[in-house]
Amino acid sequence: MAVVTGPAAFLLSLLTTAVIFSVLALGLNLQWGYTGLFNFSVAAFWAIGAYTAAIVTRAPGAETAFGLNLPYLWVDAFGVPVPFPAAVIVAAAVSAVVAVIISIPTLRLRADYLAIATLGLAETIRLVILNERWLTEGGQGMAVQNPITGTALANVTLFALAVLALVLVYAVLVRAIDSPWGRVLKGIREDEDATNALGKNTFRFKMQSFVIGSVIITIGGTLTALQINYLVPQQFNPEWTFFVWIAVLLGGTGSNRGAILGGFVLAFLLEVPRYLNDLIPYGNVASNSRLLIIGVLIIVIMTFRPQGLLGDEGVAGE
Amino acid sequence: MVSIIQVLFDGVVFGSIVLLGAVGLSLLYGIGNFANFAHGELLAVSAYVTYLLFVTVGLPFLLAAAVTVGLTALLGVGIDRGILQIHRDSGSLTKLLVTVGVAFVLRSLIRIVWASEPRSYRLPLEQGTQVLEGGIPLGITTFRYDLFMTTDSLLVVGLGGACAGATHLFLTRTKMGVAMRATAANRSLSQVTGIDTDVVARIAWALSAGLAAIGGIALAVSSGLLYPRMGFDILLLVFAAVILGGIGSPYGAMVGAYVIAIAQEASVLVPGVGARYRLAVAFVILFVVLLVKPTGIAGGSWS
Amino acid sequence: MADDSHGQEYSRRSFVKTTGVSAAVGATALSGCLGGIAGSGGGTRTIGAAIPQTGELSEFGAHYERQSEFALSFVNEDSERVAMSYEDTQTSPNVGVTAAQKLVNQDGLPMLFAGLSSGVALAIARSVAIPNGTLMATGGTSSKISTLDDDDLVFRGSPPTQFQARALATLVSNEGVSSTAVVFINNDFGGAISEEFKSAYEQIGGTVTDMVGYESGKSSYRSQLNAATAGDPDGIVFIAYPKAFTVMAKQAFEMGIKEDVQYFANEAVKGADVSDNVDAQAINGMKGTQPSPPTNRDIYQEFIAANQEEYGREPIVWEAYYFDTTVLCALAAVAVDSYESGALKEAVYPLSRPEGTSYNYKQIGDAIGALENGEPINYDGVSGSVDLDDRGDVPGSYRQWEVVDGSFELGSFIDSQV
Repeated sequence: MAVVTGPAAFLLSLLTTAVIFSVLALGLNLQWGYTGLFNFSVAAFWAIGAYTAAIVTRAPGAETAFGLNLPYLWVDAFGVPVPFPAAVIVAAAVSAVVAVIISIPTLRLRADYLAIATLGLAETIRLVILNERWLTEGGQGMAVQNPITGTALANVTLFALAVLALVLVYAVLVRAIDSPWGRVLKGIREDEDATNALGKNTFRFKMQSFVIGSVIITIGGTLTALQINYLVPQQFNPEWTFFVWIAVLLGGTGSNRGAILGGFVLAFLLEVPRYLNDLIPYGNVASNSRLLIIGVLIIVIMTFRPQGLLGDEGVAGE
Repeated sequence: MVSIIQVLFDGVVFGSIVLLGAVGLSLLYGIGNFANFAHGELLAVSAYVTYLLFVTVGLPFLLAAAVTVGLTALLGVGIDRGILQIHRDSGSLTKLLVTVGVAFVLRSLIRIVWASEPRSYRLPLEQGTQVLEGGIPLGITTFRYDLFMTTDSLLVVGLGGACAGATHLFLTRTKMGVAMRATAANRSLSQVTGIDTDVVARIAWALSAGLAAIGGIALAVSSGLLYPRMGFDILLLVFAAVILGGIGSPYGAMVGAYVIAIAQEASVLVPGVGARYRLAVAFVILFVVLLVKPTGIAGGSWS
Repeated sequence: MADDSHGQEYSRRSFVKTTGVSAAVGATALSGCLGGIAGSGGGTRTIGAAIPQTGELSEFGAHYERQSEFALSFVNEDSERVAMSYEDTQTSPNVGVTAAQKLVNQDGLPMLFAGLSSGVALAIARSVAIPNGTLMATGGTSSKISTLDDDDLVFRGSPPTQFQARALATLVSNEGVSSTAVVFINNDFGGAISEEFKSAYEQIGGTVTDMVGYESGKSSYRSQLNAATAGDPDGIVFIAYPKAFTVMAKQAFEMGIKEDVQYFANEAVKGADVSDNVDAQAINGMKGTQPSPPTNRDIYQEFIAANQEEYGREPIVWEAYYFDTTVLCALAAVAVDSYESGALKEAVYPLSRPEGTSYNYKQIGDAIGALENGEPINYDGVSGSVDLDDRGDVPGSYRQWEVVDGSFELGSFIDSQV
């Protein structure tokens, strides 16, 4: 069956998860780390990515929303997947539109209002996914037509795609941050009024940052769809927004490399408590220790190193 | 057709519970300038501790509740003293995240001690009384004005109002209350005038936690259910209420609580939307208010 | 950022990253040594279990653990033949997939019980079990599991929901209720049954006045209850989990709804979690359906009594399925010479089916003896005959129940009209 199996396969799947978290963290880092936007709608865009990709790629003959049926992943004559097909582009387009719509009323709000507003909107999006069964099959969930599952190199291919996405996103971000555009973003984070006074339309820049960050998060969502092969709305609940925030903060706010590191640390943190099962006999304690450990870690890190592992001192806690 | 009066009443009942959470949160927001994400867990912990005292140990309900409120207030002070004290000068995001950590710790402790199986106080059930009944035909629909109430719900409403009133009196009539308002308005200036802002913060935590405790117990009584996520599940609405009312204004939070709760209940009246989108309706209301008045209803002022 | 700090950052970052990744690899390898599971040939054979120890279905996960341990206690009476290794799915598909990956790839287990939620089960089946050729039992109830293209790898001991929905519709109609509202949990489970109920009920002439979905985790369901009564139905069908139903029962009673309508429910609400937490008045007279053995009523009663004795509580209906599914898995584990998926798959179907001597749960020791002698057996479960069909489903037959004085009492069998 598969070429890579056993503990190596498990490690590969963990690394894939870590890479996907890193992509999500990079998106949020653009919005929060570089622009200072308190975005709590991460889970919603993650969902939009996964669901849009799944919806537009239903198998021939299945009911499709709006009658659209675009191929998901082509495998060319040599058996090598063609990088990034139509579905991801459609997902990116959808999320860009949604991000623009969300940002219009919210980006003018002060920071903590923005947080709750985006959180509320994210929940609304999740409710739409849950209730509009004609689009998403609602609570019953939707299968993902995934041509790489079951192939000999499935896990390797998925990992490769994830890494490819990470590399592309990182390259684009590094360019963007070093550009004049990126400097304006940092200016907005440091002091929005001053930046405004200098003649920059800060609202437009904030919106661009928000939209691009959301598109990056959406790309992470399409990868997740490939990873889990079956989507239910409950998967995308608001806790994941918090986890991605933790990834960004632990890795280092305002640092792209920090965001990548944060994604890995998050994946690690979420999985380590599994191993405690072997050491702790009391079932209840072991399964609840995951949350306990994460909680304690957050307190410890925010107390002793609030800028995260790789962040600048200057951005700490603002 | 659903009765509009009933919807309003149900909104006021639920709003009283949200109020108990929102006022405390708003106080802390004003004093410490940060969002306390552990607030929901304080509600949950107090509901469970009351369960312990009332059901497991067997104390009379009111005594169990009173003791719990005191213990939770102490817990609040402990959290402040132990953890938040270090962060007095940290930024608001750092403090927010620390409270997220505290929230995770509290929730996992609840699960470890009480497991995930749901519990209940098993208080005596009573049937409500039909206070009003009937409808007025209006063309194709009927305007129904039925109203069903239970003494439970009236008590909750009364409790909400009493706590709101007591908080108001505290803030306006007591020395500590005035000191609190001063600190919320301008911390450095208050320190200069001799107010010990650390003590003020401590008292604010105690008060906030105490109100949360009352809210948590009321929540468990009103829904008839306890489960580990109960605090987090209501936290979003509490935050929405606080923001709607204007961060830092306890009075705004009171108004915000009722608006949010009524909006939720009223979702059933909107055709095509219905009860399943009730959370969305609450947020739409929040948005509309913020578009018109970006600082919230009371605009962040304490008077 | 100046160039030096770039350099510093880079080396710092790569150091930390290397540490992080090597820690992950180290932990993985170490646990592989510590774990030391998946023996083939003699010794204890381990079955993997990816279940919701936390998350939405955590209460059911706890029930599953209890029953699987109970089942294994009978299998292991003489010697420790079969063990179970549990991982938490957090009732979340992506966490579930990782949990299953650990059990299948890291721990090398050839057989899994995965998922109580259909969403999690389907994700695991499609992402891990089928690609790796691992035999997978599940507790998910969606009909989508029956139709999975799975090369017979996925099976379950709980009948799929559409059988239940038809029985429920028949019950409602038999009670003379011609119009009902349906209040259902808006997830893979509730969404499926409520749709199936509606079509079955309408087929036999009933009217559904409103379909009201709800989400768990709310402290008040008055708006849902208001919506449900808006069309003045004669009955309300609750497709709900215990937590939310506890709240609804209390609030519906207070709102005076209990007097006006007849309540119906599926088996999810039937159990200690509801009867312990809800006052009798709020639920007396409620009727519902549960999957049930067509014969062997006695064995089910004995199972209940055994549970009372061992755990001090009456099991919910689904616990009987969890028990039987574990027994099927364990018997398959004992039956094969080499402990790998292909052999297990070949073994499990026959031992559930009628060909061969029948053994019930009290005779598991004898059943094992027969298997070791190469004789065919038929395991007769506490929840029913547990005969796996070729889609990996078991037949369902249904009985009605009623709440009398705050406790659940079983009634007669239902002949589905649909």
